[in-house]
Amino acid sequence: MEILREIERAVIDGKVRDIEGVVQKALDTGLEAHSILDGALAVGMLEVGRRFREGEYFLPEVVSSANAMKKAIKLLEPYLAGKTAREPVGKMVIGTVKGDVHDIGKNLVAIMFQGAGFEVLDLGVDVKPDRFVQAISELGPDVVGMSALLSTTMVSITDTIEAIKASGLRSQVKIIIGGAPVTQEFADRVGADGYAPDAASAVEKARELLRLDA
Amino acid sequence: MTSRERVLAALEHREPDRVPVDLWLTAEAYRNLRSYLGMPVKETYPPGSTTWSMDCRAELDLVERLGVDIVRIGSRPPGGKGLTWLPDGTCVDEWGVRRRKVEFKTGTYLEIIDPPLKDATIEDLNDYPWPDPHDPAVVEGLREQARFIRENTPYAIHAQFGRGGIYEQAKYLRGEEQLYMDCAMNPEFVLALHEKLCQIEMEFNRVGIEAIGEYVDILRLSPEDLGTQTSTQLSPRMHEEMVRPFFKRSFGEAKRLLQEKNPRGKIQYHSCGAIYPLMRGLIDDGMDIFDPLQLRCKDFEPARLKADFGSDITFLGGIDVQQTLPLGTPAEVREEVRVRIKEMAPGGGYILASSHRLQPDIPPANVLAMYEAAKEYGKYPIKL
Repeated sequence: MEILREIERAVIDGKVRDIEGVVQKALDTGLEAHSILDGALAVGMLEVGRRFREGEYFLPEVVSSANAMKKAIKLLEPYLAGKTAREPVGKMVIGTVKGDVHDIGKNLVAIMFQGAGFEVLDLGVDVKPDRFVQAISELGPDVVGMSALLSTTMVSITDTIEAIKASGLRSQVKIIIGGAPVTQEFADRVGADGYAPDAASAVEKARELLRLDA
Repeated sequence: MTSRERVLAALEHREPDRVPVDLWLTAEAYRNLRSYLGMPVKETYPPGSTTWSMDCRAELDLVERLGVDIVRIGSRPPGGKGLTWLPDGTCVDEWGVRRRKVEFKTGTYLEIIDPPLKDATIEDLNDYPWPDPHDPAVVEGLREQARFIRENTPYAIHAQFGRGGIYEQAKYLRGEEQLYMDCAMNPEFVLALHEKLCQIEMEFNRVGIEAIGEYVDILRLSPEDLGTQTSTQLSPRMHEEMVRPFFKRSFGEAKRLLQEKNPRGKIQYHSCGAIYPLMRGLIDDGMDIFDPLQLRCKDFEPARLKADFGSDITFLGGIDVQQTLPLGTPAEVREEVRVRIKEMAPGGGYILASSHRLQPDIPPANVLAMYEAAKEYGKYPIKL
């Protein structure tokens, strides 16, 4: 459908200013919010993720796309609420760990997961271990994502995983970690289930851990 | 060979007696280190490279104790007062950027809240209260300090006068995410902001060089982070259009002015991240020294950088602050120093230091291991 392709292009081109108009037009023609989300926004974000991973897109492009996507989702939210039409692929809780307020990378991961059909609860930045535990027990996510930009704050990932273990909830979630100093070796050592070097691969890693076949 | 002779030889791509070493660290790491060494520990130390960055400049006693070859000095904020603390516990620097304290396990960082130009238009830039490079506090006492170091110590002098930079300061003033979106959708604004900041950076450098240029062996421009862990922040094309023209002007002018006062003076530029695709342009525009050589970034293997750019520039840094220094053992630190010297030191053009400021999570024993190993393995000719 032409209007869906137009919305998809608005995500890919990061049309932060124009996207709401196009989405509204689609709603006005009677399209279901879910069809717009799945048939246009998610498809566009998938392409953005591919371009980012393959070095065609850089931060300006991907941050613009993410913000366009966010605006579109915000507009759709009232229409999505209360509908049982669509089950999320999975649920995710994500945050930048305690002591760290860097969130550009974390925000990109969150939006990529939304694009991939996950229900995402973004806890924000400087998130204490207890807050992660509380969100896990309340939402029952499949995936927990944690981010840190610095070696000095990376230790909060360790503390958070320990707190999740102590709460007895560890076996219920897959934990994926990322951020500049984070490595696979660190992930193994602190008992995370996965590590991803960038936002697009984080989604792939989650799908692999949850055994969701494409 | 004095420390200064050692540094100058390395910068001129001659092999000195041993690999020179530098020291760059946060105030918390500085206190940890002094305390570990049984040296007097004060609450405050000489302020670091910018008003807000919470680093400090090591005093001569520690430089001597560790066998460091370089002393870092620099400008002070206009007005001379540094950060202004507000009743709500936040602070404002000379650019009007507000920050709050964020605590982590081993220390505190200051992080930006509410960037002052987040909603600004190009017209607003004319009325903004920019810092004044000509404020007398900026270079107050600097000449006496530089002369003292030159006349009474053997060390090379490393100076930074710029107080925020161009693209870097734009991120602080505008908000990083907003600046990225501007680059994509509002390039005229980015160019206008960079133009303003370029003029200020150049003026801070001019004032500093005028004050002490003949003493400055290394002029470090304001740090400008262009990379993430895995790529450049902007596409190389966007970098060419929106950042590089300003760097070209700023680098070129700083170098010209410095070398009028000191023909052997060199220009140092800092960027974090994986910026391999931008290195050639930075060199063409006048960079003599690149710091901090973050070896874990994509395409940033030290040996590759040495092979591709080692005859053109000097590398400063290279001992990993992301894994080895904070998490490794002293033996692992020593091994990293050995490998790095083997890769980077032949022919000169290498000054060993941490791959960013030493952070508060780095055990002082690892710092000492780094400097001890640098002396042991760093003797020329390198036979490792």
